[in-house]
Formats: sequence, C-alpha cells, structure tokens
Amino acid sequence: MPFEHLRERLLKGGIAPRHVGRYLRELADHLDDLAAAEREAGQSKEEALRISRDRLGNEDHLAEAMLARPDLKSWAARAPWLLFGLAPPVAILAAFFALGIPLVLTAKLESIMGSGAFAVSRQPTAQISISDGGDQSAESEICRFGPDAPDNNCAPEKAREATEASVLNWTEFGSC
Amino acid sequence: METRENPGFMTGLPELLILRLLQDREMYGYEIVQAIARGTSQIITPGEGVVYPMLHSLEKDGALKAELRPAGGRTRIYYALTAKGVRRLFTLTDEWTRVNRAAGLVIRGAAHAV
Repeated sequence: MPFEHLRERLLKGGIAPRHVGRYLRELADHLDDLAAAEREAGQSKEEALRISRDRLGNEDHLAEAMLARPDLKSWAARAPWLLFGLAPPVAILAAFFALGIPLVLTAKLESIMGSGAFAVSRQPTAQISISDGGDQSAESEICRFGPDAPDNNCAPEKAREATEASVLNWTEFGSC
Repeated sequence: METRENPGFMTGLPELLILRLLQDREMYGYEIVQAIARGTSQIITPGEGVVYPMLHSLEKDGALKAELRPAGGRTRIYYALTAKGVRRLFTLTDEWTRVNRAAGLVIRGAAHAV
C-alpha cells in the first residue's frame, strides 16, 4: 500500500481519519494519472513511476501540507480538554436524562396510582361451574358473577340448584 | 503552488484560482492541477500533491462539495463550487483586483520616477 508511512504520520499528527483516508486515496489516484501521462510521453514504466513520485512531492512535503491545516484535525487533537475533560460528565448527564428520568417518572406514576387517585375497581369475579349431577367433570354451563360478568348469562335458579346439589366448583378468577 | 522563483509571493492565489476553475465545471484534483499549469502557461505550477489539503479545507468550510463519481473506469472525488464558494470567489476576486491595482500604481510610479 503506497503512502502507508504518510498515513501513520498524519494520524499521529492529529489529522481526522476521514481526511487522511481521502487524502491518500487522492494521492494514489494522482500518482496513477501522472504515471499514465509519463507513459504516454514515452517513458518506461519504472521511469514513469519515478518521475511521478518526484512530481507528486516527497513524504515530508505532503505531510506538512496537511499538518499545517488545523481545521483538518480531529476534535481529539484540536481540543483534547473537550474530549477528555468535558465529554465524560456530559455523557453521564446524558445517560441520566436518557435512563434516570424515565425511571423516576415511572416510579412517581406508580405511587400516584397506588394512592387512589387513579384507583381501579378490583372486585373479584367468580365463576361457577355447574355440573349436571353424576359426572362432575362434564360442565354443562358456566356462570360468571361480578362487575365484569355479562348480563344474565346464568339463571340464578340454576346456580342455587347447583349449590344445593353440592356439585359446585368455585373458581376465583382473581382481579379483573 | 509555486512560481519558479518566489513561492511565498503567491499567498492567497491558489485558493482564488481553484475557486475560479471550479466555477466553470466540476473537477478532480489532477484536473485542477493540470488546468492551473496550462491556464497560466506553466508560470504557476501547483505542487501536485499539496493541492488536496486546500481542497479539503475549502470543502470543510462549505465553499466546495466533494462527490465520488465514476470517470474513465475509476471512481474520482470531484469537487464543485457551492453558493458559499461563489460568494467567496467574488470576495477574493475583488481583493485580488484591488491589491493588483494598488501594486500596479506603485510599480508604475516607481517606473516613472526612474
């Protein structure tokens, strides 16, 4: 890979990696164009490459041209105090706002709901399974009672009869 | 970017020439260097490799935009002038014209005095 030393030098000098990558790519293209022009002018392959290298400039020259431009340096090189001094507390604050505040709000909301302001009726719903006498596993009808039970889904008489026959299975459905 | 005898004298000129060339059409680095050398009859011959840092700076400043495009079986990084670049070109052209005129006054005055 041509210009590999130049890459290291520029990165160590603080030039932003994206500018380093683009610069090296442009230099490689430029070198190819120069060499092609020299070949067209009748130079041998080796001679064309040597002349092109000379025309492009030596590594010191190429590095200095880039390093002389502070605007092409990365933030870490331009303002290390910003990256290593200010960024950590800002990151912690950002994490707090991103994670801590939703947790606090959730906890607050739960405490408000628990205090009764948004209390929901929690009356239990009961289900009565009515068996048809002998075979207790064969349920003939299910009656539901409670605030969520459908209207008249079970005749009270049937329920009473079932209770008397002691073939009732009560199942607490728990809270609605 | 250098003249044959006085490289330091050209301060500010490379940027003006690059912006002026890109006002006509989009170009990649090699084309820009060749166009400057050809356009100035080889009086101004840009350092082949050192034109790129200037292009990067101009792009970072918003005066140019860079775009990867295929050309001649390869992909090239083309540079084009932005609206900000056009304004900058006008400013630099005005400055260069004023400086040139002012320097001309002195040179002509000195010539008359001799």
